[in-house]
Amino acid sequence: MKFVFNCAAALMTQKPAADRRIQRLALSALVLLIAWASAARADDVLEKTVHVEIAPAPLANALVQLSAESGIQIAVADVDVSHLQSKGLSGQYAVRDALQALLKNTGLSFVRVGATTVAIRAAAGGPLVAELSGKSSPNDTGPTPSSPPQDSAASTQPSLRFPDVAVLAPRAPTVQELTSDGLAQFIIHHASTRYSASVGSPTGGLLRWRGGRSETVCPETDGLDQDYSEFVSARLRAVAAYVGAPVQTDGHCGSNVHILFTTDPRRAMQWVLERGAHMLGVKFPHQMGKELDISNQHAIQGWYVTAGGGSTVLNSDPQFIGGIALQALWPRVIPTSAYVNGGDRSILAVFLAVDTNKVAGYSIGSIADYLAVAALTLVQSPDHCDPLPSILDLMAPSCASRDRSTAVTAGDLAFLKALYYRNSGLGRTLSRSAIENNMMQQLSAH
Amino acid sequence: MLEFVGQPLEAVVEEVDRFVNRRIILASALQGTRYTGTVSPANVSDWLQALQQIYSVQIIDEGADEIRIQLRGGAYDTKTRG
Repeated sequence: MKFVFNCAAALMTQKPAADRRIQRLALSALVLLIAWASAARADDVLEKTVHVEIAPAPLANALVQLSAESGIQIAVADVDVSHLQSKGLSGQYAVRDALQALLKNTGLSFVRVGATTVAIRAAAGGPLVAELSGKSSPNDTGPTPSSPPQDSAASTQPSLRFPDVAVLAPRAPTVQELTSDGLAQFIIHHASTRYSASVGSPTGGLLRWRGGRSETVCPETDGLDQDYSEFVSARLRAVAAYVGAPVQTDGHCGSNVHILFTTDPRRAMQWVLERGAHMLGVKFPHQMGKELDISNQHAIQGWYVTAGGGSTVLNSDPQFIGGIALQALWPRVIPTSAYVNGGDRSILAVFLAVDTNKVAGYSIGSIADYLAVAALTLVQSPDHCDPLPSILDLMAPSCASRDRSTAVTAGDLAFLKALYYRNSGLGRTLSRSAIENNMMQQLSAH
Repeated sequence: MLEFVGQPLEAVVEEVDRFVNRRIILASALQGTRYTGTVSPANVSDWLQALQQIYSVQIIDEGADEIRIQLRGGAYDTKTRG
């Protein structure tokens, strides 16, 4: 869509003689695409807006009433809801939002089964971020701490549970998910270096953590209660270790992956651009500013600090590693210059800002997995919905018509394993085609 | 839409069984299980799939005549007409 929009915008700026007919065609195409996207979303029964009038009642009764008012079929084991009360719900809601509202603070989540059926069960990914963030004012830009219930036995709610830190084998992909072009697209959307849709050059080394003292993953998370912050960092460490990425074993290492849960991610992102870029010695920050998109549109934003290679790669002090650049998780355009895309470049540091308001409805396990993947590969504009599922689909609007993955997937792990295959600290990664072959071997072995 | 709150799964299956051509048979080990939710008679197949999400059960398609609901990984025990 973004590419189409750019094309249309470019056409608009042509001279009048360039042909108004082309402009009209471009506009029509854009309008049709928008209309198609809207219609596709409206066809999803979970996105349908319904009026609900549910009085405070046992949660079991509230769910049955929502089913009757929305037309979706709801199934739940009575043992999971019989001890829970609902505060009720009144007003106009998308069915998905109404379900999330009724299940808030219950430790339960729903999974979709077919077009009009949902099954409700214990949230596999742990509590929702909203349950961890507490209530914060719109002006609260600092951490949003809260604690798990101290006495869950006395509460009407089940205790909030941590998901597993260890990486468990996800389900194997289906034959349909491993379509001929699916893996290639998956790789493009998990690593943008030296790739531009307009240039179409999917070659060259991809960016990864190279290892060594200054380029080994050391995560630190702020903005949640300490236990949950530590869980997010631990999950990143576990995924990194699982795929063979270099990760610090010392819990007191100097952090180079900083994850911040905040209600004002824009401010944090802006600070990195304005102050951090200069402190790091990023070249041409005024030029990079033109390429970088800092907005409140995305729930998770981020910066990658990348370093040049060549004779400087063995320096242990990042100040002496040459050619430092700043690249955004959501760039306005994907830079294709040799300076920021040299095949010997690597990831030096990552900053990820999580908008606690926008991720309130997601489990902490899902968000931790999204952050882990985003921290281990330089991914740009992860707003896709490839045939092979990814945790990066979690918030992709284009995935509206299918269930999104809520945990790191077999595809994610296979890609990261291939990315870190034979990572000696020197030399490039496998080529995209070799990564594709490597992934296929891994995924076919399931 | 059939509505159930805390009903024995056996009673739910018996009710749903009236709306489908094939017999739905519940393993006796699941007789004490209770169910909450709704069932659309027009969409029983998805409901059966949903049961696999909320209980540790598997649905066994026995062809034209029967569908069995049994404990996951367990041998099927005494047949109980739903």
